[in-house]
Amino acid sequence: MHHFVIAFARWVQSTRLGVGILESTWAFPYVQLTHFTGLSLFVGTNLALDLRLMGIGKRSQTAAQLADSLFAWNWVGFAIGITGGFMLFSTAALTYVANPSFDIKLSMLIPAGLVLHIINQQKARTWGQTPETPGIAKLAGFIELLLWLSVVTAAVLIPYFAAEP
Amino acid sequence: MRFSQWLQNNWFIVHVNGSVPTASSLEIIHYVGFFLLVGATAIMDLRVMGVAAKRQSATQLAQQVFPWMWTGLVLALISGFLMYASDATEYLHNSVFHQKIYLCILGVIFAVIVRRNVGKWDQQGTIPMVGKFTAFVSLALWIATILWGVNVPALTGVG
Amino acid sequence: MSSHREAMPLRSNCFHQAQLWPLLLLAVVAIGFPDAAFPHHGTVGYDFSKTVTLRGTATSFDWSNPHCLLHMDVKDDNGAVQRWTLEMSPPSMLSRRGWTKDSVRPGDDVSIDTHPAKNGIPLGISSGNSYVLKTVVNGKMLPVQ
Repeated sequence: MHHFVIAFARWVQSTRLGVGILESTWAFPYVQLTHFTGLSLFVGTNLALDLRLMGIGKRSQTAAQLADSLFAWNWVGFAIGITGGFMLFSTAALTYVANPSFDIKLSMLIPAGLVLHIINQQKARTWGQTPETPGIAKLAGFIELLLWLSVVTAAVLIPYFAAEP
Repeated sequence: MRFSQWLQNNWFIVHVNGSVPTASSLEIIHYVGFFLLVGATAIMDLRVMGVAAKRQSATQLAQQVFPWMWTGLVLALISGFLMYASDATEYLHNSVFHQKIYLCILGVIFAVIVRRNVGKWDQQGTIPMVGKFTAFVSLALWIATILWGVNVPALTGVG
Repeated sequence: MSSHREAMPLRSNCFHQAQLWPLLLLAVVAIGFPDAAFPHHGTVGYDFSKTVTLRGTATSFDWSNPHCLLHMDVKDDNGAVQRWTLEMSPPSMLSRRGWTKDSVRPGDDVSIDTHPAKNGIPLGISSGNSYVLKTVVNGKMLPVQ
């Protein structure tokens, strides 16, 4: 499996996409823009829902209503974020797969973060029927919040663990 | 200029940016802050534009998410200022950075305009064109702010 | 990434990763700045009051985002060879000054000024917002304006 990952990374890094962005005199900021705009939509709405499940903030809507409101653009944000993220990955895939912080970031994201997020989105329909959410909802929201903060932390620490390929 | 020099030599600024855990924390807070700020504003704007959350009223959604715009903004401003201060003399002459700040200010203004008027627009049955356009401008300003934010290191090599 | 990890139940996956965090932070503090490109606050780790001139042979010139990197072998006073990494501006900025990905090639004789890292590792910064430090390749000076 490890061998496959290295081979995949080597291939991705050699594609015209990866090399093109790596050496481009103009494209890199737009790739970063894609990643961060997507994440603003994805992580931003995740945090809003988690906080609402925890009972923090305004209660103009029930958690169920909020989850419903945010659903579509939450996943659009995820798609945009992953697209930008993959493009960034492609510029130096081998260094990323060798980077422990990147590994932790991805393994917190998949499956932990995503699975819990999907569970919370679904469960918000039952938990969030009333303005006050049950204890289990508060716990679930809090854990998901911690997971997203951990993913962001691991991402920020990536450069500190960059190794020469 | 003297104030900028004082800032970047200030003991606290030097130490908070000079140590890995604290410098990373500033970055993390800045990202979380603007994710919250842009995410909340974007959802409100997209709803006003009529392309999101059509089952909920725009006013109710705005009431729910808009406070996070302020929370995110405060987090981003504080962390942003502390990072800016470590290189204050460089940023003083950095036009791309100045443009980012102007875009951010405009973004806040337009977000507030949308929030203030959403109730009035909602009462008209469908949101009027002027409302949709204002929300579009608000969203565009925040996307531009992010772009200018990444342009600062990419085009000017600072930060 | 390995197949057995997907088979692990969700909760133990979280717990296992949660234990790594204090270790990670400890490792980060212990390691100090790594041997590769600096993160967001790169300039904080460099000593801008010092400018040293390095003479040696280029091993590679990475024309890459977010930072171009020049790697070179430098002989110190004792004859020992040190591998230096010089952080430079992104391609967008260097190209505006007339540099290209072939401005420095492996094997080129290079003399370059740099502000070295404060902690003594063979790392330095040679260009930034408003400057490119003097760089001479095979006897010819590269543009700095």
